[in-house]
Amino acid sequence: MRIENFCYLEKIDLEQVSLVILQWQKQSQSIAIFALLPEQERLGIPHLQAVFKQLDIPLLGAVFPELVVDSSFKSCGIYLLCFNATPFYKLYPHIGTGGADAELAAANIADDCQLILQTSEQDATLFMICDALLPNIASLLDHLYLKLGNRIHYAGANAGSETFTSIPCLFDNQDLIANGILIILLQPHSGAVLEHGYIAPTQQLFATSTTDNCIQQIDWRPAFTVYQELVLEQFNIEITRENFYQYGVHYPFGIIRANGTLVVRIPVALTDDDSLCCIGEVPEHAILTLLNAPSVDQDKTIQILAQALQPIPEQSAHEFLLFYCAGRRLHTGLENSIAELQALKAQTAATQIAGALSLGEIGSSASWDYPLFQNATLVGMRW
Amino acid sequence: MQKELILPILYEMSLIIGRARSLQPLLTQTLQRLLYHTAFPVGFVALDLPSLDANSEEALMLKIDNVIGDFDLMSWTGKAIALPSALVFGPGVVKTEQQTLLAQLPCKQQYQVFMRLPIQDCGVIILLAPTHPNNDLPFTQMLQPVMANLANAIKLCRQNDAYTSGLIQAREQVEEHHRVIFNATNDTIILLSELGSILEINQVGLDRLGYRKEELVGKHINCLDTADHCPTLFSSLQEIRTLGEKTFETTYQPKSGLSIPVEINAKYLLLHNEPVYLASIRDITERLKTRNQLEAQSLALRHSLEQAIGALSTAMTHRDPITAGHEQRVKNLSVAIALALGLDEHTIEGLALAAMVHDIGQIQIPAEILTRPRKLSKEEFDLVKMHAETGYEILKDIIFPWPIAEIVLQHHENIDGSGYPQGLTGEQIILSAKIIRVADSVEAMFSHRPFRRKQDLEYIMQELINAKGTKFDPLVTDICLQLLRTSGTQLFTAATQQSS
Repeated sequence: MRIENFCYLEKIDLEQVSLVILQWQKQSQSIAIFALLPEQERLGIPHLQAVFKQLDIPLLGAVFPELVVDSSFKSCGIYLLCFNATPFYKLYPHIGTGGADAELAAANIADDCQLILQTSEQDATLFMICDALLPNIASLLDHLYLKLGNRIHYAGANAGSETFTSIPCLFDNQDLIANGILIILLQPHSGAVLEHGYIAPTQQLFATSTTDNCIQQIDWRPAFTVYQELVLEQFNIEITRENFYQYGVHYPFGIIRANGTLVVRIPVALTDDDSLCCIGEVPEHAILTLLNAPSVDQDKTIQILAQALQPIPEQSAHEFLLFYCAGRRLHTGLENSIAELQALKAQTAATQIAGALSLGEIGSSASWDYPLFQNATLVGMRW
Repeated sequence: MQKELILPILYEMSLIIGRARSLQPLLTQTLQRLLYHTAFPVGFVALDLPSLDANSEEALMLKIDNVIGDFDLMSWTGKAIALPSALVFGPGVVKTEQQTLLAQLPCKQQYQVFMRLPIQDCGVIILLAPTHPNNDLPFTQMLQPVMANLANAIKLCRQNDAYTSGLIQAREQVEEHHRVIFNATNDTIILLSELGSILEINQVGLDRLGYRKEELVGKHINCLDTADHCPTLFSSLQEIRTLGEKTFETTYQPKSGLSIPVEINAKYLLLHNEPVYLASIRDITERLKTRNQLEAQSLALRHSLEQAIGALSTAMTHRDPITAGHEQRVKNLSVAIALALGLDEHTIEGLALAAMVHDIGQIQIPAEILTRPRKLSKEEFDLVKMHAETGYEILKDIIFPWPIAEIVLQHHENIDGSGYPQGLTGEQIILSAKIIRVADSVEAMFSHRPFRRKQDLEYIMQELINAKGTKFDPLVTDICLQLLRTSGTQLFTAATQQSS
């Protein structure tokens, strides 16, 4: 009988964890385990590391706001995902916050990957889990694309706390770090698909002054003032400094590309000078639009994902990994999010969907597209 | 996509292009933004195309100046590859179903669609995609003004790159020039920070000290100090900063552990507005050997000289036994006066030698005149007076580190000009000669002579007082009087002990 590669445990019971691992180990001696933990279980990580050290099995993992277990969200327990052969993986701690830091980190990651890739012609996916508080992930992705181009597919999700406070959120057998990146080089692997389904509204604005992930001015006026006026005008909601986080995620920005598609940016922080800080960089003079929940085409989103994640004939079990943006859940509402997950499971006929609520996502809508760092999306990939 | 948004996109592209100062960043950033907006995943730039018919079937070897997105094509960046003319030549266009044409590209990925964006007379940008990206904007038309802007930016960036490259080359030449000088010198040259950390050291220094550069750069200079208590460069930094420069000798410790004697010349100066110390360290092992040899030779020579002078003095004694020991006593008294005057050691050494040979000229005077037990006639005295010049003639060709011959010549000169042989006055007379003049007279009065008795101390002191300022220098006279009062006849032996 085939043992599934994913195992969700409702609590971190180390004995049960060991039993699951030993089951998997019977199938392959060179397994590695990818562990997804919800934020409230993070204190269990050192115990988990101790178990894996004792079993001498590679452990890699991350902390997210919540877990995605098939069509539901879970704030407790642990998801264990088994690699039948240990992939190349590495933690990169202490990533700086500037453009040059992003370039340096990308160069290090590219160098490490090239050493592995030069020994194989197989398709590969670079799966990156980044600390959500890194403000330069889009720049890092651009630099990686300059180095590795289409030699690999790009996929990823941001880990951390939904409150956007710094927590150590990435780990392996030895370390538990913040402000870093965990990469896993999957081979052979055909990539991930990312979609948000937002439709660009007609009203456009210009980000006339930006620095990395902060918008200082919109239409040559303080960003927060313009944001307040727009939300009041379009949705009759009065946003203040106090209720900003509560509403910010409901009214994210879309950066309009010339081909009509959107890159979503959720504002998550407000600075003293009325700048809006988003998850991900906003290019200066980018064309912005204010998004709202009804502008999401959820059917199209699921359709695109389901198409890309159809079962492969030779694969007996159809499992995939899914990251669902925490901001999207707040934006569209819990019911709509669950409905999206149910529709996805039904349309893909997946035997199991494992994943987490993420705080930013990396990927592209079609294979070999230019990879982008997005917010408010779903990113799914075959296991 | 609403067409009214085209202008802001063109504006953003123009900003990106306008900011670039160097060709490669310009091409990379432009390509990145084009890929971002058009959703084509791959693009490359080929500059400096030859003039050719767009309908030609030929493939041309063209240099690829920048590539983004295709890993295989990226490896051709900066190199020439065969590109189909139909791909690179012609107006701006998007073409689909071009898999046959695009299969000629040296890459594994199969492309079907390309967008060609000519950059006026500078070259072309080609964007590639496996399938048509979902957009319906007339990119090739709308990007024409951007491409015109890019053509100008390419020219400006090339000029700037050439200018910058010229500056870098000139700087490298200057640096190379300095490096050659820095390493060609035969001395160790060390550059220190204000706190004494080694910032730079030349190859000679590394070879002499036996270290590799990375072992010393960043270390504190006191890592080269020896365990003894010699002054070190570090301990002298404060003084060097105050004086601006200092030269001193010390020892340094190479990696081998055997200390080497060095002379350090260190300067305090500003380098790129930062205070630094530049130290030139010379190995003086050979110099010290030579110096020691010279000192030993000089000492031996002096001993020989003293022995020769001693022999001459003894010969004098044999000619005139009555005045035997006169030179030694004059020497002792002269040295006592010189010590009381505070003269330096070197001058006293010369004075002592001169005192021992001051009457050497008497060798030419017949012994019977010298020993005659009566007053000399005028002719005899004139003959005796010649001994000063004779002594000068004997000694003038011997090289001493002191004016011995001149002192001997002047030892009978009086400060009022009444002396002989030259009748010199005051400052014309060497101080050592003035001292011997007094000591010689005092010793003569103290001694028995065939023609008179030894004088008593009171008489001698009165004679000194009488001749003070006429025959004798007043200061030397006063000192001698003081010595006679305090030491009396003991003076000669006491002075001998002091001077030895």
